[in-house]
Amino acid sequence: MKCRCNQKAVFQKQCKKHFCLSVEKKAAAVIKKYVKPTDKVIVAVSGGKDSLTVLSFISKYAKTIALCIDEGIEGYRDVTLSGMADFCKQRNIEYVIVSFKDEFGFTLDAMTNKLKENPCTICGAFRRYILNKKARELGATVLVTGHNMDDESQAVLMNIMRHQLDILPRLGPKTGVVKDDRFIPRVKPLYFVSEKEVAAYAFLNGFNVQYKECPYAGSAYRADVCDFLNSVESTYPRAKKKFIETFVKNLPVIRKTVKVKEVNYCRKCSEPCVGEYCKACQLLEKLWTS
Amino acid sequence: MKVYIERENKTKTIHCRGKVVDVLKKLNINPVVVLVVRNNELLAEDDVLKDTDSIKILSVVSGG
Repeated sequence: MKCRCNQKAVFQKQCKKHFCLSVEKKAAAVIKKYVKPTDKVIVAVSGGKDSLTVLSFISKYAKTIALCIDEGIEGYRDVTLSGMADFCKQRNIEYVIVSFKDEFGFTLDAMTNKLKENPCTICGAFRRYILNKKARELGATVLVTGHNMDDESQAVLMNIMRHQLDILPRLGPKTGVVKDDRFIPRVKPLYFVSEKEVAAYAFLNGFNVQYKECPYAGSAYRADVCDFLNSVESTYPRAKKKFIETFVKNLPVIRKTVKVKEVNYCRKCSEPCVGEYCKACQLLEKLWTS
Repeated sequence: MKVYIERENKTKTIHCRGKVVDVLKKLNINPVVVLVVRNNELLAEDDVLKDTDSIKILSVVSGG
């Protein structure tokens, strides 16, 4: 099959050049809408395809620091972090690595042995805590993440199926529906780019990415939702795109009508949270007493 | 055809030729979740494979 320019099509009936331009255009639309060139941007980088791709886009647009979290997943994160460091050095991008072990005293591998919670619940709570706190300490005005269209369609569907409607207003290409100085607004430039498109883009641009799944990914509810959506997508192409576009179109109405929980400050660490103690402090308490 | 499946870190030998999408079907792999690579070149779903080809199947699901 040929691209419209008569070159060989490599992905979605497009040649390398036209496919890459289409991805860059979708990401640029989100970036230009929500990020000012004067913003100080912190990018949450894992070293995977999504975060390296988003880092390559945003670093051309605004002053950027890559914030990397080493959760302590043996044989997985150590590999992706090494790729991340090379990527940043080649492009002169400043990066900071914060580890669960240094910050909390335990690696994720150790935490999963001690706690009964789902590994993704534990990891998510501590990652969110570090990202917001460190981004604020580094003086960020915007926190950019590599969430793609697949991640976001999974999040919308999971929250609907769990009847957690109060979380829906917080989703979208730019979060920060709750205004609070301690929350750094998050922007997701890959919101309208599918996971497969990101993988193809990273591959075609020679990013040193390990196409490897997190060893804990299979244990999550999210993994089943992911399989379900991909199964629907294989029968009904563009289903995920239509789903996420419909959600974004209705987001203003959702934000007006669905009440979000008020922000409190954790009684232990003073980080913003819902309830008396933040999830990270609740888990740490269990870790120290187990 | 030699097929390296990165997610399983396994190489399989199968007797098959035809379009990429047909080979994936034979392997019971959903085309939505993988990239197929031959000689370090990304293949489109309608590219034709020969029985003597050696391909890599990369998972696009990172989950991390």
